[in-house]
Amino acid sequence: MLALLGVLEIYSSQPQEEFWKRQLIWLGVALVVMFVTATVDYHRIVEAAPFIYGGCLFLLVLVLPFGQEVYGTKAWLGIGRFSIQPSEFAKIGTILMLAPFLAERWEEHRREREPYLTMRDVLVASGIAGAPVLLILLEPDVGTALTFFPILGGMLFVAGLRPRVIAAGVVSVAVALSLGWYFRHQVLKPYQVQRIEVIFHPERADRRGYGYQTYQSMIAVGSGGLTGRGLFRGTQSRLRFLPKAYTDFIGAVVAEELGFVGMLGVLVLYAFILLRALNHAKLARDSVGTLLVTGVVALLSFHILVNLSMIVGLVPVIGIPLPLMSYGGSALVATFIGLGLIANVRLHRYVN
Amino acid sequence: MASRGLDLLERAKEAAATDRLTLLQYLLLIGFIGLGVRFWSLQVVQHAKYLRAAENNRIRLIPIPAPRGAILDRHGRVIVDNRPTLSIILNREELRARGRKPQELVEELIAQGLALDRESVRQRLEAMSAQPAYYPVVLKENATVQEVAWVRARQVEYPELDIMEQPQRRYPHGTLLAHVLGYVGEISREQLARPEFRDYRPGDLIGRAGVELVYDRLLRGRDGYRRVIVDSTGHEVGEIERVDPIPGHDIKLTIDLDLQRVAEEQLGGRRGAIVALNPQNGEILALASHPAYDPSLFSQRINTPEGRAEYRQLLADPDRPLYNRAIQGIYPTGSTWKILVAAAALEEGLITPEHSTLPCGRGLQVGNRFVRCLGSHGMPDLHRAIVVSCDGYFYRLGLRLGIERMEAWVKRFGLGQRTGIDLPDEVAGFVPSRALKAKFNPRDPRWRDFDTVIASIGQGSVAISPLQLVRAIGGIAVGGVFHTPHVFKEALGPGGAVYTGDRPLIVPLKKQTVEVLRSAMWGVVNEGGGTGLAARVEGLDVAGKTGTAQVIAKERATGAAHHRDHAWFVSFAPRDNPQIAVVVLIENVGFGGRFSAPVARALYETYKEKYVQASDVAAVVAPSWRESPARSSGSREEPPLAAPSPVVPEAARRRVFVSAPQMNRR
Repeated sequence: MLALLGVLEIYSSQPQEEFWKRQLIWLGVALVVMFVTATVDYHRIVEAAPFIYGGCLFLLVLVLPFGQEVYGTKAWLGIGRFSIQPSEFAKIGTILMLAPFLAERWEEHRREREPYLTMRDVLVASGIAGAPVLLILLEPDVGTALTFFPILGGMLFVAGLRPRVIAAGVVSVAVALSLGWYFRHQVLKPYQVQRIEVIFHPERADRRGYGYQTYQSMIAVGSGGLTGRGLFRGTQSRLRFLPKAYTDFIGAVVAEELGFVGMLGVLVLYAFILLRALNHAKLARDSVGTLLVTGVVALLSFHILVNLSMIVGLVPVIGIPLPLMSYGGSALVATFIGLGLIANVRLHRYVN
Repeated sequence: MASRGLDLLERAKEAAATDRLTLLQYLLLIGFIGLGVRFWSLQVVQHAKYLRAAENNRIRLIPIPAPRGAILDRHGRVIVDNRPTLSIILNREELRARGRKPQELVEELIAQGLALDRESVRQRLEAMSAQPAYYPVVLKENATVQEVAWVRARQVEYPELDIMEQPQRRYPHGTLLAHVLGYVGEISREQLARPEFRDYRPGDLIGRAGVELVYDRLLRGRDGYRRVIVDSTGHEVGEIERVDPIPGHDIKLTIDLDLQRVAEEQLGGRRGAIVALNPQNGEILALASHPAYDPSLFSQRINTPEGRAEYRQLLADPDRPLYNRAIQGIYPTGSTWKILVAAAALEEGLITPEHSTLPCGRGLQVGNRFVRCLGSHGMPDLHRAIVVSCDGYFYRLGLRLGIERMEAWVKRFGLGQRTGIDLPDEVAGFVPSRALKAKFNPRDPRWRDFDTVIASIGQGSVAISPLQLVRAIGGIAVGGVFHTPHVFKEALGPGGAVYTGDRPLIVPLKKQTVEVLRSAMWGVVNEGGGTGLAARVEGLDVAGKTGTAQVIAKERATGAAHHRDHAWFVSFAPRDNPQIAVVVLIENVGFGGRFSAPVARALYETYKEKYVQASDVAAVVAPSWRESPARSSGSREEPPLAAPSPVVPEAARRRVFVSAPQMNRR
């Protein structure tokens, strides 16, 4: 349902272009893929994980010399009229790779009456997630690379981390953020600084600058009001104030056209999907299942929360699409594979 | 105990994992609630503020049309340039956001007193409906100061209206050179549908005739635009992006404005055509056709009822002002044809300069008909026969030559075919041949001696354009090189181009042929009894040949104006090193020597004043022919098969023919 609303809003923001048709085609593909991933026993999928993971890494390497450059990032591999974004699939590949590894360690520790993961486990897991991150940073696509951290963090957390490791992690992230902000002009590119600064002073955004997107997005959301301007009547998106209204800022289009009521519906639907998925995680037949679901949920919730925060001006603009709704075939298919995995774990929750 | 302990621990661990998942659920819930609160705050609490921001926040695209390149004469004098005008444009997006229909608005504006042309606005709205809505539609071009002020004063009521600057074609010399220049107009729907016009949009100006059409790609440039932010009342509050237009190339023609002016003055109110060109390289110095039209009609008035009426009148005019007589009119040549017959006979060796006498006989008995000569010339030699234009001599010479050889030779001289001039819709015409007669005269398809006899003096089935004739005579005068006539000299500025379309026909003629003909044609203008004495110019050796072409068989002529003869004069100068060739054709006036020769004289006088007395003939005209490929490519009869010219590629020329406006063919 969310995906169909996405297609509708893509149509609304880019009516004359062929985007919405392509998105529908991708949606069809995605549904088929989801059905397949949901029915084959996830243990068999997990057995193939090293190959899937390896294949994703291979594609990520391939993209560096052969990729198509869009907005300065070489992230797409062209196949005929469509192009795919290997980094989207790499997220799923990484989850599939991490889940059995952590599950195995978990079982082993359980036998040794050790409730937490060892330092070595954490390092190996970080390595698994680190490889695609490095390759994606080379594209360069910082936003996508960031999404691997919640996957890793969420799965490690559920598999069991010592409280002091968690504390250390939180502290080091906080320190890194504040140091990074202090030295922002050395570390970040000017446009990245602008994108962050606009969070604090949206009205002061330079009209031609990068921060402008965030301000425009806030205007779009704010002008939507309680009930919205009505489908296809959003001026912000249709008059082209919103850049990329059909991808990263699709949420702002929904907010403008359907208002707070519509947005609340969207939020409730997303929350329902994610919270219910975590219930499946609790009921999973084994720890592999639990961890798979955790990984997918971590991935999706990071995307949803960060993207929506982005359009309401709570976090800087980083190129993270809204799952199910943004234009982009690879992301859509990857998301549906993730949802397929969740359904799979639920379907196979009873031991035979 | 141990196993029980393990079991407990295991269960504790399971519980711990479940707890951690529950914790994650709560964290997520908090996240979503936080977002919900933020949406509430933006959308409900601060709604008014952001709504205002959105109202004051509209982007418009205002095109900056590229100025079309100017057209200059060979000395860089302006023939056509642009003047800035203001257009009232409609922003369809804004209109739609206000929930109104364009047609409704147009009616309202007309009711309010703004003089819009319903018909053209309707067509434009229709044409633009397939274009993205942020491209504006021009409601009225050439808006007056009052109209612009009217729109500006009503910015609040009609925020969807805008004013755009638009350069428009300006013709400082009025109708001068109209047929060469052609005109511009909005691109047609049929053109837009074709792939070669992919980069054009509805409403774009495009050359529709003449140089404007053939060299459109060089002239047009590339439009720019401004993206501006306007508030809810249509006031501009900032500029987001500006892409400057790239102006089109200025084009320098081979035309000499002074000669052109004299040519048009000389035609006066008479129907006819004049072409002056340099036979050494094909450059056209003047090309006039009368009656003419005002090209500004198409760029300035065509979208008004008066303009359309004017256009209908042009189409209906029996004198066909839109039609370029110099390249589209085909006529019998009369006696000017004799030069071609003489050249063929000399080349075939039927006569030699020493032995060339034939009787005049006041005419010739052919079968049961007697074809008269206008005079009684005794036994003239070739020189004298040309000077006095003895028909009897040429009847006999023509019979000796025979129709096959005559046809072959005039075709070698480029007659009955397009010259390849860089102007659209050139007409090929016909030269006499057995096949032609068989095709057009099914009742009497057989070629008879009578046909050969009248063909020898340029009557019967001869029908060629003035341009073909002057090219042929000029080419013979320079020794048998027939250059491609052209009006394009160069496109100025970076990425410009020079004319490279010359594909000369090369028919090496015997030196004595050229000598004899030059001297005979000089005699026409300068010797006693010559038919072209009226073209004599002191201090310039003009050589020429008169022609008086019958429009209708003598027996049937009624004396009505349109039955009178066409007056021809074809000529070149100076005799020994021809630098200019001139053809004059005046329709339905009478003798060539009386009506057309004096016109040519006026051109030669101007030419002499400008180029000969200043003794810069060589500097101005000669250098280009020295480099011309014709001189170095030896004695091939076929034109060299060179690569297609980048300036007028064959494809472009073909396009010219298919896309030519209908009005030029009737």
